[in-house]
Amino acid sequence: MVRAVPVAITGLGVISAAGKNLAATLAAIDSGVLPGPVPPPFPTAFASPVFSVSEPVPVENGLSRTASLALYAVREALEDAGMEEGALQSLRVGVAVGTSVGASLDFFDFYKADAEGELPPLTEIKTYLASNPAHALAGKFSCTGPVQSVTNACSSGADAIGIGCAWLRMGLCDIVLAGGADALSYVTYAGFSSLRLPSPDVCRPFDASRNGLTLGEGAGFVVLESEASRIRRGVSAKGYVAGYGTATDAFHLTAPHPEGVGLSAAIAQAFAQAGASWADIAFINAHGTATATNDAIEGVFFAQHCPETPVIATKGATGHTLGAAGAIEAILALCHCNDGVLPASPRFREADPAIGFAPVATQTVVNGRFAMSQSLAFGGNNSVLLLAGGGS
Amino acid sequence: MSLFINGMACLGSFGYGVGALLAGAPLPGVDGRASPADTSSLKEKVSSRAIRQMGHFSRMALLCAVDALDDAGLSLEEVPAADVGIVLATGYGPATPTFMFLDSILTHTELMASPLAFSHSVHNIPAASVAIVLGLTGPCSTVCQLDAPVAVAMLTAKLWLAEGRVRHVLVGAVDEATGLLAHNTRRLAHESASAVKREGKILPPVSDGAVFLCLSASPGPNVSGTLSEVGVSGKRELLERIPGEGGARLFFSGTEHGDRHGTHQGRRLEDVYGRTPVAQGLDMVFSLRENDAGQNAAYCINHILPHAVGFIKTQSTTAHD
Repeated sequence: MVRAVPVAITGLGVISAAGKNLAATLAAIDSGVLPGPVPPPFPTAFASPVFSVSEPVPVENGLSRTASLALYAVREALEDAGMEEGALQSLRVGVAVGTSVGASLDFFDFYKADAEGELPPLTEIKTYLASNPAHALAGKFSCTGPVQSVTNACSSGADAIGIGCAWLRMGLCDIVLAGGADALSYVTYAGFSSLRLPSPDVCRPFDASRNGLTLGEGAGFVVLESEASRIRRGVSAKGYVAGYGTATDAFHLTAPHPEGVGLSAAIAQAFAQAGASWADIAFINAHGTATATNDAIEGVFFAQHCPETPVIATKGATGHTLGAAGAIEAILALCHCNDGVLPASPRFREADPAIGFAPVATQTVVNGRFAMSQSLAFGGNNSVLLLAGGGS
Repeated sequence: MSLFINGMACLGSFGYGVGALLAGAPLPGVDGRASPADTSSLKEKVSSRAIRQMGHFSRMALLCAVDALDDAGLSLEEVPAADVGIVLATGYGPATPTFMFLDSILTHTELMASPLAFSHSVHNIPAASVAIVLGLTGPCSTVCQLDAPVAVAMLTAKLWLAEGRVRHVLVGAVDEATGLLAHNTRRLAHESASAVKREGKILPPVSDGAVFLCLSASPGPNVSGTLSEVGVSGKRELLERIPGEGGARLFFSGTEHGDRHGTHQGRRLEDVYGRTPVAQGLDMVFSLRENDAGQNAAYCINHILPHAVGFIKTQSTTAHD
């Protein structure tokens, strides 16, 4: 693994159930005044609540809600980067988007009508065909660089950022819009429910009383920029992506490796790229879904490998946003790195003695070169980003 | 940086193996859909237990991945598991498990919906299945998009090798045809303007397609060629820099219909392998192995954005009988 030049992040954008933009999301997490879970926005016999974006999100040109969430967050990121949308077409801009729902054959009403012998209108199909989030963004902003839709389940958003960094280092483009987006979906909700993973009340990552995840929706995007472009525009970096690692457990389709084999390998890759070690890590934004299995395995990993490193699990505020999670959490990690302070881990109350680890329960000063954000996915994917603050 | 294509394998409605692809027989279909690919050979190569719960999509992926490794002469007992990455490109993802899950809701109500079907419908599960069966612990990524998924997957593989993440990458592309896909494709074709221009021409059927290549930074004993360039370019810009007639072979893949207003003559092979988002991968294999490859480079070009294409340039290194 080759040591790599850090990639500048010049813009950030987030929309989640915790807030209509990054500032609102951070304010909710930092203050502990969190949105409550709500009933799912579709008819269902399942009772698990969800985290839903309450802010009205404009749906443009027959795009899906996932693509619309992506557009919303990208616009915030571009504004944060001081870039006019119209300026993108004169630059080499790539688009890398992580998603699950956004690329899936998510047209239940059409399928049901077809199965019942009807000839339903093709509206849902056309929306599906027009709404691959990466292509929707590239088309909207007239981008001319690489376009990639990453579908690695829960690590997709982190992987999209890692891929975008690689494009910039290879000189394929000057700017990359990278991140993740996913909307709540009946099919996905029913799927997770069939696996008995959602909590009947609300997710409490790493808590002794945790009883499952809470599905959420949202989008998180960064503007990644080459140093040449950043200097030419005269803007400062909000932070840097210093390292990215990804590896698979090759163990089980839905459960992580009990000894974190893939996670260790992903961390090692990220360390090698950044020239880092555990001593350089200020804190970790954990995957922390609040399922019995994930948190036990992840928590034991922390206890064994980095017992002194503070950990926060922000899905207690946003829910599990699937393809968006890795990107939203990387952005939150960067912001907390810049602040030098971690808020209490959302919805965590009591440590699980079976794990031997607990996330931060109170506001905690953090110190170190890098924040780590990690994502563990269905299929055994493990992805890790190392973020450095804007002052580094 | 050129990469070496040390092994390759393919499978589809057209048949099993590179020979079936090169035979070039026109692909028949019924109601706009070609016959499913035959994955029965997989039982001879991996344990039945390993594939017991695997659907058709994942079986196509695994069979081609195993064959590509065999073609490369790459022994997994000699290569560290973490040194091999997997990138899988797909247009629609594993459609059959998705529809099986929806069927389970419709048939049994959502409270009894199939967790197995749902978990197998998650887009990265086929790639993960390959990793699990072969014991590969390197990076594992899935690209899902209808436009140029193969070019983008090849680009990811190239980046991993350039970064030193791995020494080998199994790059695959898989898509399966379904009755619903065929039906919707015909309905959309009837609505679109292009259908008027193609009136009277029977469109090739939608089809199964799978291809895997084993890419490495150094040549192996059975190297077929090199991947000398991969990326995204303006279409006009790319065609203008490709050598004139006789200088390079062109393949227009998938949703890319060719240089209608220009002078570049290229081939479209969908009459052979059907309509599939992984067409560009099949064109790569064809370009590397067709008898008259000689030393001419080949460009496989797939639409990715308005006025832009995802392209792959290969160079065959061996003459094939």
